[in-house]
Amino acid sequence: MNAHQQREEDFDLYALGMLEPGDAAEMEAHAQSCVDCAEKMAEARGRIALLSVTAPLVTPGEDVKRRLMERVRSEARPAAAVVVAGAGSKRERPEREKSRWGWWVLAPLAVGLAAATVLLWMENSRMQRELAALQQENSARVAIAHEDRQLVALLTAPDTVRVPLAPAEGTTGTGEVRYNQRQGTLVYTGQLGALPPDKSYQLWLVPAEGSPISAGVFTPDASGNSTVLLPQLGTGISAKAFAVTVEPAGGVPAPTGPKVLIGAVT
Amino acid sequence: VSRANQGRPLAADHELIKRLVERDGDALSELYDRYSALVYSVALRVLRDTGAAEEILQDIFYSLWEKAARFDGTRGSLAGWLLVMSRNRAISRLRRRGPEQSEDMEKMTVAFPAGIEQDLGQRALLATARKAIADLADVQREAIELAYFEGLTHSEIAQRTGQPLGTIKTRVRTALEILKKTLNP
Repeated sequence: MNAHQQREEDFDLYALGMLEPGDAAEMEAHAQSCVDCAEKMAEARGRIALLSVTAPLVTPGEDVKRRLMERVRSEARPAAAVVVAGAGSKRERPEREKSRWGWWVLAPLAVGLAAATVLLWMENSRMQRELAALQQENSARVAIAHEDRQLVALLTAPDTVRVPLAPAEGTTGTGEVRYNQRQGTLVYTGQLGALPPDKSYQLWLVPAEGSPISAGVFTPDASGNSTVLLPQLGTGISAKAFAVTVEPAGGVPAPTGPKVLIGAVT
Repeated sequence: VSRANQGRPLAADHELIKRLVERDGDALSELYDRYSALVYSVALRVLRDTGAAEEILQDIFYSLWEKAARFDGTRGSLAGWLLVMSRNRAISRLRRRGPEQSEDMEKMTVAFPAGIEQDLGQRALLATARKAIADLADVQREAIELAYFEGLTHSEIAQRTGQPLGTIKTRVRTALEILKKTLNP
């Protein structure tokens, strides 16, 4: 398999592990010196990895994270362990001496027990806080799962409309809205320039009748990407257009600033 | 208001990777919370054994902790790398063979289609991927899933399904073409 003699489909077969071992090895070797083929391999790996989404999403047991974090933290412990071992060896004494100075042993033990009780109480409190946090996290996951279902319903419904948003005159940027009137759901994705800290972008649904309805306030990330997912909208609102305006940070009830993106529902 | 604008903003993967390199355990904890269910679900789907899947999950995140400095976030997707690692390690374990492809973080770059690196954009694209796969013909999806989740070759899929080898090759090729057109239009 010489330079650039791979068939396009071979990249996907490679990522799926279905190329003959010899061909896969040649492809890997070739990609070491060919940027184009390395990029195609990376894209194929990403595409094939998306097959993972057909696996039912299952949350792992809580103790896996605890074990992982303990394993990570234990990296820093060996030095402390050595000190403790050294201290223990220094305390070793002949049996008779131990008996004569028994209270020396008992007193620290009593102190140790008291300290252990306090530590256990603190540990118990910590675990209760963790439990509360986990319960909160679980509620958040349930909410996300609900949103995922809404999102799939939006993206797969035959009556969902796709509305490309074009830059208004004198501006740059792109965007797209997917809107389902029956479900009252919407997703916006776009690419826009950065704004000063006191400004935000605001997405508007322009209904067939009545005033524009706010469909989310957003700030692009460092790459200019932005998303508005499932804003609170009523069901059954007939949209004639969508627009993005520049508004004071946090948004406003009705549009006041210049339009930067606009797209009509056709 | 978009969910991204509510509460504490999420750190980008590449920022968390930088903190991993500085041995920040909180960054590992955050990445684990973000991706553990995805990684675990793939390993569990392949192995159907919670203990084995948990072992793979923990090992992958420990590898990430140990080798974060080798990961170049500008070239590849962390989520993609984690998924590929999970699938490859689970298949290796299932089929009792060594990894088919390099696990080197520098060499094994995984690029997701554009937009997936943003938190919510990622979920939108995952939903698109679910739909694309659901839209495949049943026989095409079966062939692809046998390859992905069981690591079967064309011949093994033919044997398992009782179909001619040529038919299986066509089904796999067609399914891959459809997915490519949908996910990288």
